[in-house]
Amino acid sequence: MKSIVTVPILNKITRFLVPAVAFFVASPAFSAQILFQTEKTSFSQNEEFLISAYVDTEGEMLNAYEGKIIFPAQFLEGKEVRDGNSLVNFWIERPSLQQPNEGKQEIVFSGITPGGFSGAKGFLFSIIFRTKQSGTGTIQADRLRFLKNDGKGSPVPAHASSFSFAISSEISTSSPIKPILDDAPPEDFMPFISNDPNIFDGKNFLVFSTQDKDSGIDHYEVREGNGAFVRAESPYLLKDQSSDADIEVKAVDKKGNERTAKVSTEQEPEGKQKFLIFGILLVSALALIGVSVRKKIWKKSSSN
Amino acid sequence: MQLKKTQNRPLFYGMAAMISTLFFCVGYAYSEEYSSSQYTVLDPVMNAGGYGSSTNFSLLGVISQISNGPGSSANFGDNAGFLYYPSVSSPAVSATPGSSQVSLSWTASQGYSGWAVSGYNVARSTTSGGPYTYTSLGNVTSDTQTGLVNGTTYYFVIVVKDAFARAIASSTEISAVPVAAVVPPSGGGVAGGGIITTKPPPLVPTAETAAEFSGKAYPFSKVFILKDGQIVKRSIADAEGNFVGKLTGLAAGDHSFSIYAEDKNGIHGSLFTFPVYLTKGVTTVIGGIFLAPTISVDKSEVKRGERIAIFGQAAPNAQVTININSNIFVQQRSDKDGDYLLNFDSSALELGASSVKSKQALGSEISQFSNGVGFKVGTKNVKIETSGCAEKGDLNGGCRINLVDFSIAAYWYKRPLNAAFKEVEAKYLNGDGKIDLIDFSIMAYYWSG
Repeated sequence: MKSIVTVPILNKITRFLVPAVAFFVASPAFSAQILFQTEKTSFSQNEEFLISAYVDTEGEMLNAYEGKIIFPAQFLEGKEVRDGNSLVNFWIERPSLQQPNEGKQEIVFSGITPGGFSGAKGFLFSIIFRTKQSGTGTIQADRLRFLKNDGKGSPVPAHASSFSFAISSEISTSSPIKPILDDAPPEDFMPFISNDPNIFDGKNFLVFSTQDKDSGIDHYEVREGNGAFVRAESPYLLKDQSSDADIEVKAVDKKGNERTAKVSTEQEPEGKQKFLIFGILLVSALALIGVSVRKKIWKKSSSN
Repeated sequence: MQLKKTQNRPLFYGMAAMISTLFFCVGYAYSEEYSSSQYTVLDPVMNAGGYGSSTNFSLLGVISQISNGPGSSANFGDNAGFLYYPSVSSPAVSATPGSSQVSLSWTASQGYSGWAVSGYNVARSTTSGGPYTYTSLGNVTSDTQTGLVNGTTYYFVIVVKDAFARAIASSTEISAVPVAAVVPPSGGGVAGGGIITTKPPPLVPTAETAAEFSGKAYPFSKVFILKDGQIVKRSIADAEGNFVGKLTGLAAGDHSFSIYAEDKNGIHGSLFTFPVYLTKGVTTVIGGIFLAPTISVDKSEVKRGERIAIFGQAAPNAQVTININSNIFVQQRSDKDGDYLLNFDSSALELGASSVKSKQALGSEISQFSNGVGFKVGTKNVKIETSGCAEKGDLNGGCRINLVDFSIAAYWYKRPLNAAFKEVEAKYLNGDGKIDLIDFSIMAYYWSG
């Protein structure tokens, strides 16, 4: 038996009075994806190729991305990951090659873009592979997680089409992938000293981050005082908590170009800055009044 | 699909037809109600075609049931009923001159209340203000205008189109002067691994790589320009809220620029972010940036039935649309100082959590919505002092969400939280007792650099 939906007359009139004055295109079911792009899918043995991973946000504004790229270690050797020029501004886990495990090798990544990114082809990173033995296989993305720039970290469905490749028994005669021509240092940056009761037991630590648009950042080094530069990651617990000695942070890109920045203390919050400005103004005003009063006294005493 | 016919409705149809005629002067006829296993459409209405209009509204056509808001499923999408203040945001545009060409890119317009963007037109002229010639594009956010005369100033406007290819918003005008190419310098390399880059060649190798910004915020507001998430420039808007800023000595390549402003009450506006490719030795101009208003409330909890003040700063004399809980819209006009205030009667709200956001329109420019501000509708009034600090993400209480907060979160990433930091996580992040990607996403949303 067919049911009839009944609605009170008043409700119907109300619904009718709510005018349907416009007709809009419905939004399709939403899903963001990772796109793999390379020049070909068939290779010889011992051939190098480069594959790039892009994000298509499908019109949505996203600000956080994570996942892993998995490939068969018996067919491919991962040589290098290039993340210069990535849409990710801050890596939580910078994409890097993990040790092969059970015939598979992974590249894990996780990062954010403050303010979000929306676009059909946002560059994440690229990977250089060298083929090994003949056969067929796939490069695939797994555990993808894309989050909206909505203040809640709402997830969006994410998927990636796997990239299938074939390796013939021929030995490659093609030349390897050209190294990136990068003679520019990483971009200028400003490390901060800060402290917070919630990490490092409230001790002073250093934070730093910069970009290299060509080859990408390889690592950072920190030097306290006249000591040697040591490899470091942000946040970095300062060894010497009391020293007033200079602290320097060196950013090194994947071609070995370096940028060294001296440390400044963390910017004061705006409220404190206002108090500071008010204090300076107050002291200046008092000084002016003092000078003025002194002049008057001097004039009086000289006229007497 | 199985169709069902509704019976015994002559009285209602008669009344409905009379009201329809009176109010809209458009003839309607009810169609059959129908349903499938996935959805049901009640009282579908179709008009006979043709447009209706009056001084207050324009009827484009109706194929719809009468209900509020959009509905969708995996198999079907529908937007029906009276969609409140549908609008799209104006794009911000960047122009990079090349030899006999100008590369344009723009931020995607965001549609609200069901309005979708179908594409864009590029309007081009050698005279400011037009007349323009138009290039019709699909739903893309970049274009290269070629065949231009080097040394001539060209003016561009990006026009946003709806599903009927009608212009529904536009950017402000932006200009660029194509310049004859010189021999590109050696070196440089290909960005991002070297697959596809079709950028214009470098023009003047000795010139600096720079980006020039202009747009509108709030009168005398502090404007912050961020490059790749970190503050690199501060500026002050003028009495009309206009601001400009120029960054020099930049590296060529893809950059993520963000801009926000802090109003006279110290309230931070929302981050407006856009990706721009900078060409070596070329100044890229980015214009038409129209920031969302700042927004705040005077109570963290309002007793249901009493008023809550919703306020902020926008451009002077802008039309500010205040949106409460996604379904209540109120329009206000900001005063000459850009201030707006709405004393909202909370009777219309359910008990529990609410949130409010706002956007502004001035002429043909429409901003995006601001970030939302939360408050509770309850049984008492709890006043708050406006601190200007973001309600989430500020892990160290510094009133800024920046690399320090990111580093604190990064420290606890994949580690068990101690009791003290659990409280911080509960207050400033998503409160699930761990630090993962969601918490970083929250910080990225409230980011201030």
